[in-house]
Amino acid sequence: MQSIIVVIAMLISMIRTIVIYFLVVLALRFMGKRQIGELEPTELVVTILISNIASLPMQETSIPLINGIIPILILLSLEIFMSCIMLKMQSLKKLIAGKSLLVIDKGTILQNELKRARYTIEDLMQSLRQMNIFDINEVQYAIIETNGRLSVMKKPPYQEVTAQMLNLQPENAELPRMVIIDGVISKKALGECNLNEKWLYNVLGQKRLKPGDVFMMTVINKNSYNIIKKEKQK
Amino acid sequence: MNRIYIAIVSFLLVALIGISGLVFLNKATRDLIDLFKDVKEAARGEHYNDVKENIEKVVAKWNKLEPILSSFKMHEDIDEVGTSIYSLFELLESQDFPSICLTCNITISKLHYILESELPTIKNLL
Repeated sequence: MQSIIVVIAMLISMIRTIVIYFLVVLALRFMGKRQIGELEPTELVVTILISNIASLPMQETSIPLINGIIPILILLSLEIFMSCIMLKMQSLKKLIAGKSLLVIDKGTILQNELKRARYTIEDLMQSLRQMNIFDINEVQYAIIETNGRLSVMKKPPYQEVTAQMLNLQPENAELPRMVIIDGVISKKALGECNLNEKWLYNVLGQKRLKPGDVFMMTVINKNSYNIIKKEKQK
Repeated sequence: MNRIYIAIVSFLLVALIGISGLVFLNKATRDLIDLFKDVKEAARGEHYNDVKENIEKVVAKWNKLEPILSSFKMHEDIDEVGTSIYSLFELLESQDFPSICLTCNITISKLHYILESELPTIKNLL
């Protein structure tokens, strides 16, 4: 009898966890595609709150499931409402998300601005090193963004050479489409390249291949494609 | 734009659940309290058959309400009321009418507490 009760309690936890899992995944999906490091303060708060709220009804079966679902739905709605309002009202965005802060201006470190952002010189140097800048003299402007990341504009002698600087006129780059992924043909990708399966089988036939032999095939146009064959299984 | 619709629908859904839950809880607990009062009256007069009939009405009502109440109230609170209701049968078997009255009073207080703890009053919000 006792073991039956334990199994039932485990089943309840399992079903609750499945429900909450899908709800949290959907909630975070609707919030957007940003990564943790790129979250605005409001998004970070909502993400932490959702994860905490979600864990309560999973662990404690005496808490009704709806007590977990309702706060998650409310947080999701508020987050979406706030982001929509902030799109229209920049002043509210500045109030809630803060504003970006210039910390290096024309090569000069603005020490007071650094203090305001509670950013130490070590933090600044670390952020610069992560951007492959080891000498602060290379920096013309640096801005701390609202998500805490540093954006940097280098002094002209240290900037990467671009085609424009060399007066070159490169051809327009096109996006390669993946028309075969692990042996499976994507008709949608083929359509996007204005090509069809007949052309695909013709190209593969010339190389004595079948779609099942191809690990990946990318296509830009009918004259420009790349085929990677599947490795033979050992 | 789809997201704003999802947010509006979610918000309205939650508001609907909250308001309908509160209305339902109000009606359900008041009906149950009335039935408990009937049990108490019959127990005061020590009318065995009337007490039994009224307890059966309470149980029938409780069986309908319990799954819904459990979906938005802490299960401990609901279990306490359920245990009190089923203990009435034991007390009736031993014809302990004063204890039936006492149990009814305690359960009525618990039902009042359940209802009041769900109301969005300043005390509950704080």
